[in-house]
Amino acid sequence: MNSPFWNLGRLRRTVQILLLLLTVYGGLLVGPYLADKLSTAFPSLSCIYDQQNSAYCVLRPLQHQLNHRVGESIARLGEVTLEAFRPLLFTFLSFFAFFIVLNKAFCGWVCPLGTVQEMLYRLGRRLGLVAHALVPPRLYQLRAGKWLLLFLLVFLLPLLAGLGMIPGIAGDPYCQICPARLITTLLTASTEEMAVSTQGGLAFAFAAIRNLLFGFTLVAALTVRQPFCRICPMLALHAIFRRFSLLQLVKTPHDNCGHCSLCTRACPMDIPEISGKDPQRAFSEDCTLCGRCAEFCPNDQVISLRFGPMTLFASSKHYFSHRSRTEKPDGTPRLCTEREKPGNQPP
Amino acid sequence: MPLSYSSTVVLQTRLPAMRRLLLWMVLLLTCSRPLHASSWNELPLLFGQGGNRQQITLQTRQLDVERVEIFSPLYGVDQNPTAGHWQVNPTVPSGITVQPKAKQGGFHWIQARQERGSSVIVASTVHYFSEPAPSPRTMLQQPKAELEIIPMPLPREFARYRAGEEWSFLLRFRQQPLTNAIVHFHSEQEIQKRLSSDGNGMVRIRFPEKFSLPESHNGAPSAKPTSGRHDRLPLIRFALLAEHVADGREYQTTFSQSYAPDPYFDKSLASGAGFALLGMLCATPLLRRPKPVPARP
Repeated sequence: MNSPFWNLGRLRRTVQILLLLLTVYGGLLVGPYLADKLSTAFPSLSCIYDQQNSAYCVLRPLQHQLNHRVGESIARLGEVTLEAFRPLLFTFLSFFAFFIVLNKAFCGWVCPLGTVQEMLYRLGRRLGLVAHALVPPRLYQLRAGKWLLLFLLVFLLPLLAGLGMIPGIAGDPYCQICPARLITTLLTASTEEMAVSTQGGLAFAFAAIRNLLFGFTLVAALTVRQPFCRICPMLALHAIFRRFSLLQLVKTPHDNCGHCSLCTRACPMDIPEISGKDPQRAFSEDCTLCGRCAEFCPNDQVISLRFGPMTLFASSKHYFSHRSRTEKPDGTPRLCTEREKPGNQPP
Repeated sequence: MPLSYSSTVVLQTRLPAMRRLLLWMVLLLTCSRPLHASSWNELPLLFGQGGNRQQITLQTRQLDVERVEIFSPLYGVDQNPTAGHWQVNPTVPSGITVQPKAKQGGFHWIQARQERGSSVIVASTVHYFSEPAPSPRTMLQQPKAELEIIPMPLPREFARYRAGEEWSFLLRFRQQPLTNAIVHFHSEQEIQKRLSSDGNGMVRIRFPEKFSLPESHNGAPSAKPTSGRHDRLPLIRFALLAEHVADGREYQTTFSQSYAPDPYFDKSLASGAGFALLGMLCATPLLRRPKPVPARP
């Protein structure tokens, strides 16, 4: 990664754009039918409502199966069999087949919503807008949000809908409010997911929340990094399995750790634990394996991305000095003139 | 007005000839079917009457069915010609029940056949069973009857035909595209269209924009939303009809399905945009640069 043009950030951006095209428009390539899809339990927000997508997000079958298989099976008393849980098991297995290889990199490298938010943040930097970093304790409060959404919207409400305790429209509540549903369909020039039900009730409420979240995310992403990712239930689902994958973020403590905090400043999720001394806590539940912490760590071999025993990328003084010439840790690009000014040398 | 003497004479002398002519006309009308059914109720149809992810019940209309065949997505996938193909009893008064075999889901092509003398009528439809299955592409490509109207492609599993949308169908006879042939579109709301296949046998149909809520009427009841769907959209049945004469035999085929209203039915895009703008407004305070805290003396 010592090429004058290529660095990990540029490589990731290229992969993100290619995978955005694949997930949003890939149906034109792989075909229209369910059986043609790359996966029906894809570990990123490849939205099922996008008519041209190439894979379906795992959160949709999870909700669907908890609603129609598990919930309805429990509702028909005495019919609870292993059969009701078979599709759920297959969904988890399909999800894990992907996840074991790339782990949470599905958030940092693949997710189309994540890519759009990163592009917006970059636009915000270009426009010179203020950048906000989330710090504890607000950061920790927000972290709970994703677990709440996972438990409530992906697991509990679909199950209750299957049991007949709440209306059927609440059978896939997360998909009803997910801003990826709007962003990905708008990218295919379809405005239909933006339309709000005029019949009132839950359909109206869900669509209103979805549009509000979409609008908020769009503007907030200009100034806060990855605003929706902070509460995304997909990140929570990944966090459960993050220790069971080949791709890992590994940290070796260094004397500087806890002092410069460049890695936390570089992190799009503002994870404070990454700059701490505890290597176990560095691979946090919020980590998206984007690798920016490793890019902006000024010490050799302190933070690395490892695939099994293989080191894919490790921090180094040399790489850091090159990388920080073009970009500040918070993502602000350094202009040529700024780079040449004395005193603007990387820390 | 009383008939004049001369006209009475004419009638009396020509009556046998007129009677013969009348008889011939009646015979012609009764023996020959019209080129196409003139209304929804005259179409030979096979239509789903309800079902779930494990089975569907079908009814036929204007057909004296001899056999009902089912083709699963496995049909044509391997060399075994019987794989993914079976028949069910068509003479059940409560309806023809079709279940997937060995938990094989996906799109199933179902067709009812009637042969009488030189006339062959095939009515077909598709149903999706929600279990993992191969793509229906191979099954659709395989010949299942002489004259066929094949959706190219079928709507995705989570989509459906919708008002105002254009979809393509392939008209083929004995595996060869039937070019410049007439295909009739009928909806249960008596909307009719006359379409023509192009040089590749493709027929492009734009579903009617007009969509009023369907009512049960005259034979085929209104389609019900598939069990388990959350949107509960009203659906209108439609059928495509084609005819072809070859080797002294008349072939007629129908493909029936249902279509949903356009995506903005009972929805407001302006309100949606309004909520999105409100969301944007809520986030605008984040764009303000915080005032610098004055340094303490």
